[in-house]
Amino acid sequence: MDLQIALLLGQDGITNGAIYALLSLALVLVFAVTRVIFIPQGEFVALGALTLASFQAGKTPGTLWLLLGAGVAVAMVDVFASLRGGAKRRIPQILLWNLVYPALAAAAVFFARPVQWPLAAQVLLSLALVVPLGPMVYRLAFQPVAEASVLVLLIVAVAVHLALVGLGLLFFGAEGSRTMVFSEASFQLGSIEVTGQTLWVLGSSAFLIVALYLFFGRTIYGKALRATAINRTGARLMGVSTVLAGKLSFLLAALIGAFSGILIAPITTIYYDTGFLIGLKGFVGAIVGGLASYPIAAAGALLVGLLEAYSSFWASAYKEVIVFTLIIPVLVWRSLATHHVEEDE
Amino acid sequence: MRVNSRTVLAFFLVMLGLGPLVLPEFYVTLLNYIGLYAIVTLGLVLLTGVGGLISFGQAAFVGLGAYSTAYLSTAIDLPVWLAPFGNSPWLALLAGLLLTAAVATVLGLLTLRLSGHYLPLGTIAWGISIYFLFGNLAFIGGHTGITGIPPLNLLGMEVKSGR
Repeated sequence: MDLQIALLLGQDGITNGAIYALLSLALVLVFAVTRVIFIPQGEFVALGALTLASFQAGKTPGTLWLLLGAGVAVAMVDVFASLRGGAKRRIPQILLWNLVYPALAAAAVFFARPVQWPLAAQVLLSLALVVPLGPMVYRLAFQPVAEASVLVLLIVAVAVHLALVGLGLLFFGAEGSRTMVFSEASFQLGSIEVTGQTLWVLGSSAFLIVALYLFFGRTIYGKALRATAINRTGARLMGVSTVLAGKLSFLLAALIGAFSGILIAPITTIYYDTGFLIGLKGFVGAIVGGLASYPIAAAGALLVGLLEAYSSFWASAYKEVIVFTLIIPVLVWRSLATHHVEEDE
Repeated sequence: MRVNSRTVLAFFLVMLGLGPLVLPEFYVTLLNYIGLYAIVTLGLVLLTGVGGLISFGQAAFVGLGAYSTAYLSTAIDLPVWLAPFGNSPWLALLAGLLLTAAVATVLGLLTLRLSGHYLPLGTIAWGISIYFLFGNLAFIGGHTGITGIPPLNLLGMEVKSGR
């Protein structure tokens, strides 16, 4: 290995690491607010990428049907709950978000399909289809068991993951897709070539991280999420709705996931089940930070990206084996380090 | 009316004995698969239900047992000390059990120290890494796998077809 290859691998590792870092931030956020270990995070990556790919291939993305179906299910559950709870005033709002919004999205998709919209519009439309699935998944799968133990929530998360992978196969089929690059540009930096897509990935990751930082530090919703993460009961007593906090954190997680998928779709071929592995690598980073620290999670995720890039140079077939075997010592370390702090359930 | 669990078991065994005589081939095959999965589930019941430990890596043990038996009974030039296991699928099955038990012991020693949600995460991790290991090892066929494994022989009857 000479310097040239080392730099190339490093660039590759940092690009992937930036994506893993974004996902690890989403995982830390979801875990801190709802105590859910969000295994299906990766599915949003795949759904986002495949939705965009469908648009570019001139097809109707299957996520539209998923959105319509989930909307109907959530509307039924919520209307039933508000009728029983005597809160009829909430019904118009429920119908607006779960039936009218998906219908509008469907109209936009059918309007957009014949004409190839510019890339930015396609990306926005893909996000509009995939991101609302996050809160809907929370409403259907996690809200009814929100007070259960971490282990129960983890098992529910694995079930949701399996369901979403199955739905992904149903809607998008087994063949992989790639999307067009955001920019054709490439730059010469020293002896290596940096592609425009790499800069897009790095820039967007940095932008999202700063945006999240400002969101948590400056806005009332961000502060509500932080309060819920620190003390659920206390936040509730101060008037922060834990249901809203849960839905908001899932919304952010779905946004980050889908956007990550859209960012890497031009670099790697995405299959319906690719998301799981990408999500799990973000997870390894999140665990390095003990699912609690955002900066350590991001650093850990970058490390995973670099490790993966360099191990693919020496033993490319075994890169997954190497990454996932190395997580076990990290788990042992984290487990021993947090042993005396018993979970407060 | 309270149903005795022994009555249920006896009824189940009678139905199990009668099933292959009356059911069409498809359902017998289906029941065979259900039986195979039930064996895996039994392990999980012991681990999670009785032991209170959660494992998502059970598939790794299934694969380990299957691969070691399959490899021993199909490989052509085994080293001398392994050769006896290659002669009979029964011995290969025994070797598969021993190897899986050994690997499970090592993994258990490593991961059972994990507390809380770290244990299920650990099991997911080694489940995945063993899956990719099997998919990439050339001597067990990689992602294609191993074919032409000789069937077990029980009292002169080959355990081969659905019935």
